[in-house]
Amino acid sequence: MAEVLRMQNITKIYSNGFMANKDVNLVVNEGEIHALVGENGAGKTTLMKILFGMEDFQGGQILLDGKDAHISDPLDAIAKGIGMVHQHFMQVPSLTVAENVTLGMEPGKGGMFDHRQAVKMTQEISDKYQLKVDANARIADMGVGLRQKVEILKALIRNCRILILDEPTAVLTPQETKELFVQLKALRDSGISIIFISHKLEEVMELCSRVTVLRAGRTVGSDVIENLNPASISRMMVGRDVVLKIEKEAAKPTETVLEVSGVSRRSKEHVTVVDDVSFGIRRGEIVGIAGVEGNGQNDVAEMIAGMASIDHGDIQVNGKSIKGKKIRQIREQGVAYISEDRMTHGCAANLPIRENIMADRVHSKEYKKFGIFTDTKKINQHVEELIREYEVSCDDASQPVRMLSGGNIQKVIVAREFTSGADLIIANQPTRGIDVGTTEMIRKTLVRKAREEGVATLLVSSDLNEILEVSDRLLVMKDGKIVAHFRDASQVSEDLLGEYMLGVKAMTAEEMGDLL
Amino acid sequence: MNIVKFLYVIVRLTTPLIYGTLAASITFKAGLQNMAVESMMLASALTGVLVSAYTQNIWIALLAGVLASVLITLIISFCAFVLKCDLYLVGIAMNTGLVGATVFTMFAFTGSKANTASVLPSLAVGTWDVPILKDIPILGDILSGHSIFTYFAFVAVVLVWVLIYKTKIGLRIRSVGENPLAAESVGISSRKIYFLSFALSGVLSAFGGMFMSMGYLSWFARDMVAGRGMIAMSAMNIASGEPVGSAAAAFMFGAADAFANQMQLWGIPAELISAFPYFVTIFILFVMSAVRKGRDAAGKRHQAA
Amino acid sequence: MKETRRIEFFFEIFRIVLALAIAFGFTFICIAFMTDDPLEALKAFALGPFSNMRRFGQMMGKFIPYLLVGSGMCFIYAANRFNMGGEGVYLLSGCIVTFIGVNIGDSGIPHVLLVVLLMAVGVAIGAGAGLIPALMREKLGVNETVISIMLNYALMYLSTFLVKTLMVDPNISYLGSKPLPDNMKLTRLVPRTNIHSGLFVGLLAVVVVGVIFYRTSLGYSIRICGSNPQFAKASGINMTSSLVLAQVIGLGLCGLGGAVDIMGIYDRYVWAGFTNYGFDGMLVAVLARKNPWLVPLGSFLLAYMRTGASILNYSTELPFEFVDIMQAILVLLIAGEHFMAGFKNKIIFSASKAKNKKEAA
Repeated sequence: MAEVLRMQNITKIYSNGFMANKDVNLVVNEGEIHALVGENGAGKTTLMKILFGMEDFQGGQILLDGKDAHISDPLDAIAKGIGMVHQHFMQVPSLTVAENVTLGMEPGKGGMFDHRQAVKMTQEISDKYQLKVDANARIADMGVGLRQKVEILKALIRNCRILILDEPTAVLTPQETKELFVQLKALRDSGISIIFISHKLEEVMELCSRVTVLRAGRTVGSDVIENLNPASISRMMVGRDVVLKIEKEAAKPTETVLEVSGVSRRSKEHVTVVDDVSFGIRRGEIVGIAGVEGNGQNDVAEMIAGMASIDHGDIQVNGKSIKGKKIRQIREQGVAYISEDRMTHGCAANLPIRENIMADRVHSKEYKKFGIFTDTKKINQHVEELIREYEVSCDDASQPVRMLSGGNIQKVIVAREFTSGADLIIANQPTRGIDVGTTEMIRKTLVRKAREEGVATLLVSSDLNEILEVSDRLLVMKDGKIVAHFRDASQVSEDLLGEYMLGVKAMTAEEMGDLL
Repeated sequence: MNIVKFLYVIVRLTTPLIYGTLAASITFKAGLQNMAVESMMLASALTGVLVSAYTQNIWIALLAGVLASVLITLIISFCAFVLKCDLYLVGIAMNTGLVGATVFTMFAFTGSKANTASVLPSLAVGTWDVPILKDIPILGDILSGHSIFTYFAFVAVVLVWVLIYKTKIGLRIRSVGENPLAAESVGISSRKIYFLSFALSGVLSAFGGMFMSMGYLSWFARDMVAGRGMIAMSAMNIASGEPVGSAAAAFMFGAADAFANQMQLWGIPAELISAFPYFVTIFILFVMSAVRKGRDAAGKRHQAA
Repeated sequence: MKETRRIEFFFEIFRIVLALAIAFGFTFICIAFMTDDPLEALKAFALGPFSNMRRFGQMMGKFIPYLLVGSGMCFIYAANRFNMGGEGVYLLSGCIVTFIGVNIGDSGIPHVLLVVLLMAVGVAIGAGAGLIPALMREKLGVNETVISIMLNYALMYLSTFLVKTLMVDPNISYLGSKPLPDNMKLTRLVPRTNIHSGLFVGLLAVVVVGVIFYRTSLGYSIRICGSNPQFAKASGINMTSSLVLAQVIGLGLCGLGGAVDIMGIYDRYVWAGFTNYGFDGMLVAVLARKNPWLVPLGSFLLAYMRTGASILNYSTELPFEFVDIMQAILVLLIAGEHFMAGFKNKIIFSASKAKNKKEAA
């Protein structure tokens, strides 16, 4: 089989020094469905962005049909026959299928848009590749499965020969997934090469002929499907190159602080993202939720924090329900939240460190003089103490947060949340993209808070080191459900964790035991 | 009160509002918050008057007015999309700045700071007694004999509708407005579309402005747009940016204006009459948003049930 | 890192100076085209306000209300809720204050009490009127800018109506109220000039606003809401009350500005249309970069510009509206974040490179 794409020794270093891809190799043959697998942060998305002309790279080369190809931007990539179906569809909801598909290459004379011709063009492609859609339907009225077909048609109508699909089945029902596979196989048979990015190993086994595994920015292995099985792929994907052990004493949990009972939630597209989840966290213990991103852990964290609504079930903090309550009330009940997107929800970038730290406590009597004025001395003392304690590298408390490095911004946020007097701290990807030193400090502080101050902690993280070393108890989520419960995280091997994360194994209710 | 005359006045007074609301709806469809219709109207109103006086050629004057308005949009686009000034603030700054700028320019050319009435021999675009229509009783009295700008306003509604829904440019504008990422992924430059939609908005505003200074009157007076751009924007908001709906909503505000005129005949003091349309606009917006809020709340309750 | 901050600080000043230079450059072009003796004209514009006590007083007469509307609009700008009702509020406040003053000013009420009462009325009118766009935005989602501008026109006509019907002086040829009783006029600090004791009120207002901004939880909340509303919500800040209060206080100060202006330099109410003080306040807030402590600087700069323009107008016939154009240029350039941002980043980048080189050596 002829080689249609060769990405050789690709190295990409971001401007902050983070190495996203190191000497990555990927070879795709003509007419094959090639799986690209790896955890979040392994470098798959970056690699595909490079292929699609959305990112530049520092080392290596890209060969298309054996010839050197310099892909300058997405339009160039499209011109060279590369098409990409993003995880979040790039569609205009109020327009029809035909309009979305022909956007940018609209048919028509004299500036007028010939909708009928657009429909014809779309229908032609749709029939040719057996991707049945109604070209006249509006995107907003269509279900996710159909919308995905439209995304694929967008690529096909531009004569793509290599089609990249980024986690295509994440939003599909089982029935839609089956249909998609039939279509992808038909596309393959008609000569189109497909790069299939996914975590769902069952699907990879069913659909793909070859697999390339990335981990921590490097190619860990590449083989034909006949030589692999889910377990072996899982072992390649999930593992730590460096084990960062954290010293901690055993947890001595006491009363229950958080009780999540039968909680479910559906996304905007009516897909169930959290499915009947129940667990509890006690004072003094850290419970981690591991899982490949997008399996519901983020939604669970947001529901407890009050940022997302609870469709079914209940969540109680210190015995009182938080369902339907405003964020302010939930925080007053003793909940602190380190948000995943720190710049949007975690800080006000243009304001000084002082204001960012005081945001949730400036109203309290403790910092007021004569009831109205803020006690500047006390506030400055407090802020300076935190800057010292959390080692925030800055000029002074008046420095705007946007001037700090990412790690220091997170330190400010963490300093605030850790000192908000909460009984429950939710840490959602607290050290993502942060330097090693700060990461270690935040993890140690999480443990200290739990042990010394008896704070109950929920940790959601895709970082293996973090989830295995910091957590006392460990839950694993897949497809919105809890599929594993380990009472002692330090006893869990990476291989075992990987199998649960990737759906190779799942515990029964008995095996999980009491989740509270 | 003569109902027929009243309806005639409504049509006349709604004319600039229709242009303004069409101008606002184009930028709305592109996803932009265009507050600056006032400034575009002022610029074109003055330019039309000046050029028509000096060239004594109505067509050149109209063209000049359109160009002036488009120039204003270029300044707005540059400040908002290149200098990254808050679009809102740009609109507010341009509106206020143009009041002074037009007075200044008027003075530079005519030596007058109040209006150009006695000073410039500016032209006006005439009225048209529509054949056949003018002889129909009642309907003819309401719809015939308006300024050509008025008739063109109705044509403009159709043109803008066709532009937005039937042309390639319109398709791209709507795409950028709803999902800029989707447009960029197929190679459409959002920034170019923003510049273009503002320019188109400028063209439409120009006719609205020139109606005021060359349609009914034939002179320019200080601050003669007097908030109509804002009112037109409100009409557009009520109809969620749909060109036809916005024009219909504009009539509501035109009616308030006409009613104010009517109040003159009842001996109500001039200032209260002048204030009336503005109070009414506030009231209309209050009612419409309260209704919308009530409907949304009922919808949510229905959904949860 | 202190380096970056220092660079940013100097850059802000550089940007403002550059914007001023561009604005002044534009002025000079206008002057050159429209006057016979451009250099004389430029001298009149640039040095005029300082040439004698009366003119200096004229400048101070503008400076004082600018302190008030400027600090008021800082609330609006910082909250990111562009409630521009200052124009209408300024007029109505002046009008009502005139009405009350004319009617009770000579009734034996002590001067200080009267003045304080009238100022309170000014604040109340501003606050009350400012509440309308504020509530309509926070409770109903209506665009507060549109409502505020509608309100401006409505209040402007209303004020003229009230003057005509309630307090008009039939003995003068132009539209104006009956003369203001001396009892309600603010003391002149320097006789025969426009420098009046309202200056203390203005400076006090700046201090009060500065304190509110940086020394109260309300100030914190307003600034956080304006900077990142999502963060404000996530931190549990009550956005509705913070934003409504910001607009109410902001416009209350504009109302106070109108009252102080009337009591300070006028013999009767003569405003027949917008005074432009509302939008001027916005410019002061932009010049002051949302920082109340810088409002005196911004106010002084603007007062200087407008007085210079007025003097220029007196001596050359050049209409002072060109200042409106200058104002727009200043707002657009200064508030345009990217104005010179590329240049600034280059300097920061090369400075850090130089530092790295030094440390490596």
